[in-house]
Amino acid sequence: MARIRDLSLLRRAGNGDETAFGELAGRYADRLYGLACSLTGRQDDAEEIVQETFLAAFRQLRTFREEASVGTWLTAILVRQAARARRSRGRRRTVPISEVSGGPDDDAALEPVSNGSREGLRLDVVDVLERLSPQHREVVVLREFEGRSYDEIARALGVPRGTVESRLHRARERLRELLRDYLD
Amino acid sequence: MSTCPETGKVAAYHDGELSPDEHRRMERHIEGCRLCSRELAELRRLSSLLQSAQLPRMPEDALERLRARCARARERSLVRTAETFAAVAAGIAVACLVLFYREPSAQPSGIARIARNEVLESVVLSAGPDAGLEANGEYVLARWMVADLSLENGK
Repeated sequence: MARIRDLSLLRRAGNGDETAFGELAGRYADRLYGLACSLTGRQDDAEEIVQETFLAAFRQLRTFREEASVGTWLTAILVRQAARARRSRGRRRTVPISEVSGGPDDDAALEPVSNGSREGLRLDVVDVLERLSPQHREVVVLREFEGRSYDEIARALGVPRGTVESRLHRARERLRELLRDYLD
Repeated sequence: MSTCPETGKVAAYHDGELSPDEHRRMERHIEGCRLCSRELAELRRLSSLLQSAQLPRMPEDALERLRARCARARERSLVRTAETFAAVAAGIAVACLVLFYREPSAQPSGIARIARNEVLESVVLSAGPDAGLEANGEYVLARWMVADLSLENGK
């Protein structure tokens, strides 16, 4: 039912219905923005990626296969837009999240939070994602934040399932190294 | 250092990617295997840590910019659609003009023209002044046109 409702919202928003757009954005914009930040590590890129994701969704509405949820479909579009932004990033100046949010610098990022502040711990975890390769970051974000299955990740990234498994394995190995002090 | 051949499957178990049978089998194995049990515990701690991450929320002004950009894109799309319709309409108009004012050599052959005129004549004559044409003046005009076409075809 929620799936049909989301699709109806997407269609109405694409036709200029402001109320539908507001509801759709309310449901997905924050989540997509968070994902875009995780994937790119940059808030200015993330904003543009979310904009491009919505525009692409409205343009490609006719290609939407209704067996997928709108959320899954938007995520797949966002991953492609993030990859595109990453390829063109070298041509533009961008602002890392750690600069915008006042997070810890690179050297301090992986140190455990001595006062046990959960907020501090969260900032470090976001920061650590920036230390992964883009391919490893993608699979970790889609698996751990989005809860996507291996097959869904493979479809979203356009790679074989085995590639997803091996990337996820290597990414987790790297994360365990980086977050050793948190995990012990 | 000891190893277990099943450790490689622990991640798939943790991610819920095994078949129900395989999942149950791994569950029993992990209960009795210290290495796999430790591997699972580490994966769970890592997932928990990552999932506790508070991802940035979209700022309110960014949401407004998103709304404005989508509205602009829609306006541009409407303009493009209108331009496409206008171009198609103009093309149809030009095609109609060409058909009406085409060269005599491009007109139908004599036999086709005579056949067409006979059809016209039969329609007009069978209609008569009271049948289909609204005013007697129009009937007279129609008769005149048919006669003119017949003259043109040398009938």
